[in-house]
Amino acid sequence: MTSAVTTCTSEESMLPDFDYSGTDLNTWTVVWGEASGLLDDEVPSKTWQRKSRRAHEEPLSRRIWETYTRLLRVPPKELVVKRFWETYTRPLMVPSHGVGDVIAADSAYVFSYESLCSDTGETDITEQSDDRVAVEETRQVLRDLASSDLEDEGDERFEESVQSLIVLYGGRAVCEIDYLIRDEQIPPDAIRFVLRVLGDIDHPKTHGYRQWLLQRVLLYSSSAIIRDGANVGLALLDDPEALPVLRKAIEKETSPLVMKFLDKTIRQLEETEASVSLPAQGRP
Amino acid sequence: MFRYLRKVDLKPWLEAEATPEWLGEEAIPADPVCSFRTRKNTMSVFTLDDDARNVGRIAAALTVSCGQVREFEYIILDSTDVDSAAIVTRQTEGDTADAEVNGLHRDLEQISAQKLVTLTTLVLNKNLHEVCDRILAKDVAVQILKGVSDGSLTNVSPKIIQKAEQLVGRAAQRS
Repeated sequence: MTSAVTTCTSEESMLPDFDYSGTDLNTWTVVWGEASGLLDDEVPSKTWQRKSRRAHEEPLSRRIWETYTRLLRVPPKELVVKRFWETYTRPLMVPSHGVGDVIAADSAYVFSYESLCSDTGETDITEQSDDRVAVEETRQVLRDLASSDLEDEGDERFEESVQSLIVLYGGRAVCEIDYLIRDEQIPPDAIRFVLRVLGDIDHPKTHGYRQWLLQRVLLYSSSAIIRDGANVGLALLDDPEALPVLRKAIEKETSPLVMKFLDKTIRQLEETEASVSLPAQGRP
Repeated sequence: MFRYLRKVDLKPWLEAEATPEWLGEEAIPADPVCSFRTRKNTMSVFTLDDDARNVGRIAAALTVSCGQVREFEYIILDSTDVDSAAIVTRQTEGDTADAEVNGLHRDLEQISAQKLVTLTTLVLNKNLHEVCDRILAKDVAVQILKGVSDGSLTNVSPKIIQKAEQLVGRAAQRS
């Protein structure tokens, strides 16, 4: 299977958004490779420059897709995109790599193209208000959340606030949540809460990004309650495409309780996979 | 010996798996104690049947009562531990939306701080992954819809039913 690895080249790439429009990302490189993770010398890396924040309004995944198909002429269903933040150096989240380093296939996240950009033909940026508003509102909701007492489980008010952010600002809200989690600007309790809410939204445009975020946190957070929050989020998302990451997570999990709950999520998603594929198999 | 189900937030128990350095050798962290959340020195529990087959039904009943469809987290208490902590057990009618579940309700009464610490210590000394458990939201939703369908759950709000249907049908809707 053919694949692509994205690598980012600036500090601002800590804020990438796979639909690209909501980020401060100015320069990024896509390195094409095979599923083995090795670079393919015959296919040149591609670097895009973004001159202003809103210069490009099309999803990053779409750009990858278009370039990829142009270069390699691969039928769409064979494409798998691997995402990786090269410049992010916090050891708890992802290992650090230099730009252009070869990344082993199992150290990158693998998604089907369809799951990442089911809305490839459109971008919702025209429906959005200014980026700054999205960032500020997201930060405010999470600040309020962080300072609230989450003892009473399932504070509906905050659930609705976070869900509204996603619906209103799409990938940009997810991007900001992603940033706040990475930067440890909100406490673990609040992160756990937000991760759960991220899984409990029906919003197709951000589905891939939310799933990616939950998977990354599950694999790389050092906090058991945060990993557990990501696990709960993935169970709510109920997407069998998370199964490989969940299986990998359970192998490296150190908490017996989280391990037990990961197993429950895996079993749920396996059942979902079976139930979703059955009608398809029954088709003539 | 009976086993009782106590609904809790499992976060403090997850944290208790890793003993913090500041904690003395025989001390226990406070948060799991507080997670039992007594009211009027009393704690509500539900009696589990032999192989805990009724957990799902209890979860559905309590979830509907809470007004939000979400994961159901609980701890299993052994009656021997409750007795060891000198906590009094009394059968009282529950106030959930499921009459049969209401019959499983017990009040653990006359709980002093010391008794609660004793009980928590007994639980913490067990393998937490054997006594702490969670029913995922989708499974809770399935149980709720089943309860509504067979009539065991009554007075369930349309909002709860809608949310349960959303959780059960999420993957199918996406595909």
